[in-house]
Amino acid sequence: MSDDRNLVDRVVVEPLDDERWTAIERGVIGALRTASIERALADARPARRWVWPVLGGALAAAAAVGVILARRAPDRAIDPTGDPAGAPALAIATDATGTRIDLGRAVLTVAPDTAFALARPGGGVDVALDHGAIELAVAHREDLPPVVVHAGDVDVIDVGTVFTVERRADGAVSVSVREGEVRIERAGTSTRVVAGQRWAGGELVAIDSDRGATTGPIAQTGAVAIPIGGPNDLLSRRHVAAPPRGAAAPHGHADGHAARSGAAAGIAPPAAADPIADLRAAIAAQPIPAASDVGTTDPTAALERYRRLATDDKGAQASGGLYGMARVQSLALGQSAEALRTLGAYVKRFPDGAELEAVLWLRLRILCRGGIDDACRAAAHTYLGRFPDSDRAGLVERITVARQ
Amino acid sequence: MAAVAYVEDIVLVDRCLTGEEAAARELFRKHRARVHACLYRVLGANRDMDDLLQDAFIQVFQSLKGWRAEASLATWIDRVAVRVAYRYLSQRKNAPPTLELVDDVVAPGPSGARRASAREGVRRLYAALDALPPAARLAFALHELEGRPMAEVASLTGATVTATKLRVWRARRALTAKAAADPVLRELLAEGVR
Repeated sequence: MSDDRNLVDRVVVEPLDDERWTAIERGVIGALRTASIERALADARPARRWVWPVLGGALAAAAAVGVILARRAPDRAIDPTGDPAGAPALAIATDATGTRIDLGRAVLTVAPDTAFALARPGGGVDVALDHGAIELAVAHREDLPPVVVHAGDVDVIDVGTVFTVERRADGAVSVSVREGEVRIERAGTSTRVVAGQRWAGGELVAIDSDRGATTGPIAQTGAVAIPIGGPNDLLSRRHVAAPPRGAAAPHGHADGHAARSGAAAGIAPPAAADPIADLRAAIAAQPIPAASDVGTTDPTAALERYRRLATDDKGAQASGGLYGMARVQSLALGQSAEALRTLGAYVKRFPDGAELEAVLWLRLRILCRGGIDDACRAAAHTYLGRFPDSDRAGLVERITVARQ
Repeated sequence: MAAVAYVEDIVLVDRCLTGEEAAARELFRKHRARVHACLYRVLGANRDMDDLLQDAFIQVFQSLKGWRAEASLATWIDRVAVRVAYRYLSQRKNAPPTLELVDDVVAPGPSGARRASAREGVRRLYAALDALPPAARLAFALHELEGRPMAEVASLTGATVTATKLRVWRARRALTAKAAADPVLRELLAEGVR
């Protein structure tokens, strides 16, 4: 049986050149990055393991600064996993660095020097804001209880959106909606605030969250429009007074006391002084390639048509349908979590799809909305791994090394 | 020396599992040549080779958690490569052959003609292998073209040694029949038994 053993020498393996090996390696590493993001997305649905240390740390901080906000506790259940357990509300306070709390279907990005109580009644999210600012990114709640933020006499009710609630020391409350819509209830009246609007003291003004420019008053005038993500955006203040690179600051506290005093004074330096804000503005300024035309401008109808394309068709039609779905979900309906799932499905189903670059860019843009964090940088790595020669490569490379 | 390599493998895999990209690159570079050789000998020159290599390593990383350090990492990776090759062969059963050996310009003189003939022989060998069932081709290629012992081939393909021997024997019989009507292939095989 071993007569042909010399065939081993007859079949000479033709080596691959370095260029091909580099391309293969890039593909493998790129796929690993994508897979890690998909795992992270999947893991984000149930509560994440690191929520406990984060909440624990926040609790310790609360004790340290003596902020007690548990006055609403007796009638609230609390469990970061969403299971009501009859426990009191968590009192949380942040120091000068702020924090991010991932509750699965709701992510809270908390500005520096913010104090609030967090409860999970019946799987909902109930935030009582004492002072400071919180941005909430809330996946569509479907049959889950809504997310409610109480800020003084203002209740902000949300069922799937991205918005920021600020309560200043003087008690003034403002709400900026970046995606979707929220309902604000105050003194028996209900006001609907949609994406691109800011509510402050009963007044609505228009903001353009993507371009960071004021587009004009909507209702009563007199209020100042503050572009989300712009230099005056409250959640960006933590970056404005960051010490120069290399300055002595404990890990994770790079903003130091300067940020605290800057926020306290309500003074924000020009955007040019904040590289992170610049980066976010540059991301927002990048165009998002259009999806195929489905003959309607109504987002809900368009979503349905794209969904039909994605499920009923094959090949380019189906890939275009999935991309169109994600685009509508993210840009028109403010459903970031759904959009990310749709984009994940695209990558899985069409790893070499015609819209892949647009898909990875949209994913990056969504994940970077909350700031330049690990998820954002991972999305940038994924994009760069697949499209290193893209026109956006320079910008994306900056994201991969950015630290806030 | 083997023990050192074994420990190094464990450490490398552990680093990969923690998400260290440098470790993933190191593992890729360490094993890529052997995986390529394995796929090449089983499938021949192939226009899908880059995708197959990529696919093989993605699968390696995706299932790295499953490596129990019972077999060497190299053997375990070989097993993944064999699975990729088998799936490829199974899926393209009805597709046209993807052989793409480029004909060299024949150098003047007897040695040039001989090389060209050998090259043509290899091309015809893989054309003949295309007609075999995937399992038989895999067993034949791993044993006869890669030079792996029968027991190792059985282990890599998840078959018994007896079944593996039978597959190799059937493949040889089919090739011999083909070579009877093909002098170039016959010459290649004849040189092989010299």
